[in-house]
Amino acid sequence: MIDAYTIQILVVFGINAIMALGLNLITGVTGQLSLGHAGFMSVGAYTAAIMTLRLHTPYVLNLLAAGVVAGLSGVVLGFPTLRLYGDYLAIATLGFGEIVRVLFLNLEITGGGLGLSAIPSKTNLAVVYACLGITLYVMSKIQKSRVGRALMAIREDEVAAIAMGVNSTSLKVQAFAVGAFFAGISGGLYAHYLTYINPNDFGFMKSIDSLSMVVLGGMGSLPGVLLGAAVLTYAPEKLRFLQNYRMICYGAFLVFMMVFRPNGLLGGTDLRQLVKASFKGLNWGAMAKQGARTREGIGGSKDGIA
Amino acid sequence: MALLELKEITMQFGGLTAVDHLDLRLEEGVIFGLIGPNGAGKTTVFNLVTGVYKPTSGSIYFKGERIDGKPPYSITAMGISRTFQNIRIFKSLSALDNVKIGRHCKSSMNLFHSVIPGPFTAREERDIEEKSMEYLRMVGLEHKKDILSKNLPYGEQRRLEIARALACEPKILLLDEPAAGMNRQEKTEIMDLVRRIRDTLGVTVFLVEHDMKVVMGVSETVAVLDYGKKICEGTPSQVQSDERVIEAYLGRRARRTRKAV
Repeated sequence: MIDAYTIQILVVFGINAIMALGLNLITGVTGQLSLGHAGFMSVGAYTAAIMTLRLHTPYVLNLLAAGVVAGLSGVVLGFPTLRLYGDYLAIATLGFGEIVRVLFLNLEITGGGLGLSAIPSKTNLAVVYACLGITLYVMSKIQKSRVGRALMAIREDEVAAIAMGVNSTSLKVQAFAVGAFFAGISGGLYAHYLTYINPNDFGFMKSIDSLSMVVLGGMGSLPGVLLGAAVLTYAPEKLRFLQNYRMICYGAFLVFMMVFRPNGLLGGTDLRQLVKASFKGLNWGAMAKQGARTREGIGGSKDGIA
Repeated sequence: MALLELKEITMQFGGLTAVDHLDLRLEEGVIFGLIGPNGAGKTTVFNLVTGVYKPTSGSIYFKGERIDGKPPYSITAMGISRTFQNIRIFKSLSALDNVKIGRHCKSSMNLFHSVIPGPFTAREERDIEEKSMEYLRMVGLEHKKDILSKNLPYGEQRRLEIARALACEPKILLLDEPAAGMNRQEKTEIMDLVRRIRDTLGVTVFLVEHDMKVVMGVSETVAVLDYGKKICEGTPSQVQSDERVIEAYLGRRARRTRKAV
């Protein structure tokens, strides 16, 4: 059967993927750069852990509550900040992530710097993959719907989207809420897997990690984000033989990826089309063409109205 | 009652008065042209009507209801839609998806419906698809529906933007320099399209245009703007022979040497 080490990697991949899929809705689909996504994961992790330890409520309920509370915090963050554009929003979300971390470091109920330990271990492979399946289902449904198209319109050109009758502020808040909900779920899973959480587990680097998964895999592409999460979960493990040089190689790998596939591994590609093209035109270099077509960057112009 | 009415509209940006006590009346079913030299405030008028700017003073009525100060998305939902001077299509979406987004205010599925399909979601999605194809057909782009819009040639991007604006089923369509950068053949096509939009869909067209041939050829009423003030309004031939218009376009000395604009 599968050994414990493989299972652990698979579970961590699942948790990372759920988190990255949530961020993908915000950053990849709606085009709103968020640098504080780990903050939502943190809110979810602590919600689930505290409910389990103090209230002894059932696990499934705790997971759900983790998502809901994180989603609400997404709404709370969204209302004041989503009028901001690009870089300014990024800084505001960065601030949010830090506030959550510092808050949890200083609250009594969260155990302060000691964190929470002895959380019952309840997350297993089946639970994680059930959650991942639900996440994928929800995300693919949203992306193909009227709401998903409106979110993409906001990413492409917010001024034009509003001119088409899209209430962009309301939709951006909704995207933030859904993205934060799934980050919260992944936080709940995480807490009940490691059985120990500490505010510093959900720092800035964690946010950047999941952003890298989205960008590396391909913004807005569900298979791409899965692939990104798989590569970035697995690569640090595979690079262990390099010992101290491990993170240098990891960083260099990211740099090379962005130089040669700026749109991400599967960015801008429909997986079905890619598979079709590779079966049909293997000999005529259809794959190469597909690759070339996806090299142009994502993101609409943010210039003034002329 | 006029379909769209601007009353004493003034718009100031700091010390600059872009639009100065402007009165305009658009009756239902007309093709109305707004012209003027560069910087006369034509696009500002569009931005005021669509709610991008709130006028410094004055009021705007649409179907008798006051609309200035309303957010742009609700003005669109009421039946005013527009295109932009420099094309603003959704570049990395397909042509069909661009038009589908135009159907946004004519459909109602929310976040929950997209995850948990209700009885009407499939029907609504089918309706969006069919109607969007109709508008693509109208501008002659139905065979390009799956092409990413940024890969379309310039003239087709313009027509796609018009199809997207029509998909809202507006009462009035605001076209901001639809013929800019087009060759003669494309200009003729655009003029045909503008007439067809009015004649077959009954949509009132409000047109800002630099190209005299296009404005004069297609509009029934033309208003001329200069430094934010309306200096003349009338039929194309009246406007063309108006002294003040010739002066605004060609300067004072031109009066004696040139007769036509």
